[in-house]
Amino acid sequence: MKYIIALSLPIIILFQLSLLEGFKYLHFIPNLILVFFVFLAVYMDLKNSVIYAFIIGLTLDTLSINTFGIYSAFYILMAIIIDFIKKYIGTAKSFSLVLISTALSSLLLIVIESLIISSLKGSNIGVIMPIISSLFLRVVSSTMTVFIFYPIFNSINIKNPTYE
Amino acid sequence: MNKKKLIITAISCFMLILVLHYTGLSKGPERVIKTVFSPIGIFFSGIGENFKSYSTAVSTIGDLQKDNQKLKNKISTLMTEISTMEEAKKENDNLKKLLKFTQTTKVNYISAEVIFYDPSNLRQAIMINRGSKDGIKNGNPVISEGYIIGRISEVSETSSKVLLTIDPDSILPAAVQATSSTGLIKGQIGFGLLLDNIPQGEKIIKGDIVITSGLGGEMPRGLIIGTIDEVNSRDNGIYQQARVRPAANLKNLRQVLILY
Repeated sequence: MKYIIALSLPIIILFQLSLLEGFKYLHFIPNLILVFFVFLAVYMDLKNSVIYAFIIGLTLDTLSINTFGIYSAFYILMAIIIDFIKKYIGTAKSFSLVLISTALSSLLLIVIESLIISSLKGSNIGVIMPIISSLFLRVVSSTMTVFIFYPIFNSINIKNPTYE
Repeated sequence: MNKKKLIITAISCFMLILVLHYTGLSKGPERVIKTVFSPIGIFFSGIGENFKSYSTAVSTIGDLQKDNQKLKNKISTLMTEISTMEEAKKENDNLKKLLKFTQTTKVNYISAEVIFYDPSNLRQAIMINRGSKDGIKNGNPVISEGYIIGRISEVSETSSKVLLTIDPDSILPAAVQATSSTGLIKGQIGFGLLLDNIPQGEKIIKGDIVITSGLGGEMPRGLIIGTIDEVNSRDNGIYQQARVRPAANLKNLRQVLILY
């Protein structure tokens, strides 16, 4: 199964960056990279999810205009947070766990990006408020994508790709 | 490896990567990522363009689409030429009056395809398939359909990042074409532009065309940025501001021209 993931990952990154992000102005375009990563983090152990966090984060950092390191830091942080949630809230690969993790990570990404933007604009969080509400649509759409990904991930039954 | 050790290792690796990046030692691997992703990116963005075309127009089939693209490119070139010529004419007249001095400026164009859009929720940038080997340099203006859409912010060998004018971090020296009042055009979050630092005494009205002022020498004067949508003038302020509607269609970028 690790080959399926290894092949799916660049396809999803490319699909998101060269196609879906082109429709960013519509606001309800989901962040498939993030949703895919959340599934990996929920279904895998911390070691593997941190490795994938590095791969995804560094790729996005290289291709993005944002400060280098933002995405790597974010995805590593998410791997740790999701591991924490798994440990203290529920260890099963339940649908609600994926749903909560996706919503949380989408929200956190927007908050982090908003803080960076507000620092660019002179530490005035007020400038980003008008757009924040529309960005919540993205949180909702990303969370809704879980409904599509969940049966797929359950069907390929990822246990721990490294040890297969 | 226990979790504590794993987290410490991850953080150490992350710090190491940051150090390598900011000292320029990771340029090789970064170039590999960009080079590997670029051709596949063109393929995917091509799919995206087709999807956009089919969803907006029924008649975009076969040769018509190719012809359309060629004509768009032609229009882009001509629009830029017109806007720069208008400014050149004005400049020429002024110089003739003052110094009897003529100046010829040769501008080169190169077309590029959009490979990637920025993954950020709030930033507005694109990556194109032209780089330093094509003569692209940092700060080069990028135009689409004859209007300026941004400038080159990062160049690698085969690709470049373009910071769009609507990005919150983008600032360009601008001028109002009708009055020649100069100011700064700043990107706003949510596809908007703000013309700032216009002195209170200057008269600007809705509908005025905003162009690049050419101050600073980074880009030529006369590239159309947009039109003034709303003027915000306060009696107690030193400067007045105006909301500007971008002239270019920044929501559907596929092919762009770079001036160098």
